[in-house]
Amino acid sequence: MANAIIFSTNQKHPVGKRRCTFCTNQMEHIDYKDLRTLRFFIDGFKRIKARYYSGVCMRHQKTLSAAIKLAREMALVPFVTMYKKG
Amino acid sequence: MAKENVPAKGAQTGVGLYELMIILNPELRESEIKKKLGDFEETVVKAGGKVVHQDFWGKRPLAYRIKKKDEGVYTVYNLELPTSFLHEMKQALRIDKEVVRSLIIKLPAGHVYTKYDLTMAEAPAKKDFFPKKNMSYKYSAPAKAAVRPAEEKGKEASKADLDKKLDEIIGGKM
Repeated sequence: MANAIIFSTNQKHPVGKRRCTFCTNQMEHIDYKDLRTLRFFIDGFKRIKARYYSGVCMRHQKTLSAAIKLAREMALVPFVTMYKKG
Repeated sequence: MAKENVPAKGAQTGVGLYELMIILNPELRESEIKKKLGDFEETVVKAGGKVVHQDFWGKRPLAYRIKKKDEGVYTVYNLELPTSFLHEMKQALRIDKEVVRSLIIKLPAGHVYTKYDLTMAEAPAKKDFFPKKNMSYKYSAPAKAAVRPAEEKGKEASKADLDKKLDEIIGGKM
């Protein structure tokens, strides 16, 4: 299922033409275990991408951020890029 | 006020569908893990619950250190639990020393468990560190690990062949 998701490259489009990836793919439930899709909405510094860049709608951004935070809690996704080992 | 008189949190009647993720201590042996999970399932059934689905992920690297551990044994349960048992279960998981971390979520009715492919997500993305302008986020199918042909074991060379070779070598030198 994760393979079939179409990620729109929203940065190139003007604000009016941006489309929410979850609305277009009709994903009602965003799972915190679905790391493939979550990774797309995480920054290089492991921060949650702003709606301005990803084009996700308000309703889905809220569920998405909740899912990412759950994944962080379970150590599936890091909080920050660098952490000291040892 | 005596504590016994206070009803436990979430002490209501009814049954709900929950998802539980447990991270166990990676230093446990396989038999110990099996026993631990088996005991847990037993207690769930005893309390009037039901194990709808169990998904054992196995050992997996943690994204950051927890309790001086870099790995964890992941298991995901979909459980049907009486709500009165929830609080008790949370306490038990919190107290347990072998449970590194646990998470309980309420699921909507009629939820179907989907298994996600985690192989791609685990790959470290180094180029993500300083994202470039023309970065493409397209995912390709995970490359299959090249299957190595079973190495042919050294066949026992017959004595005649060996002798021939020896003769050639010696003859050449002489």
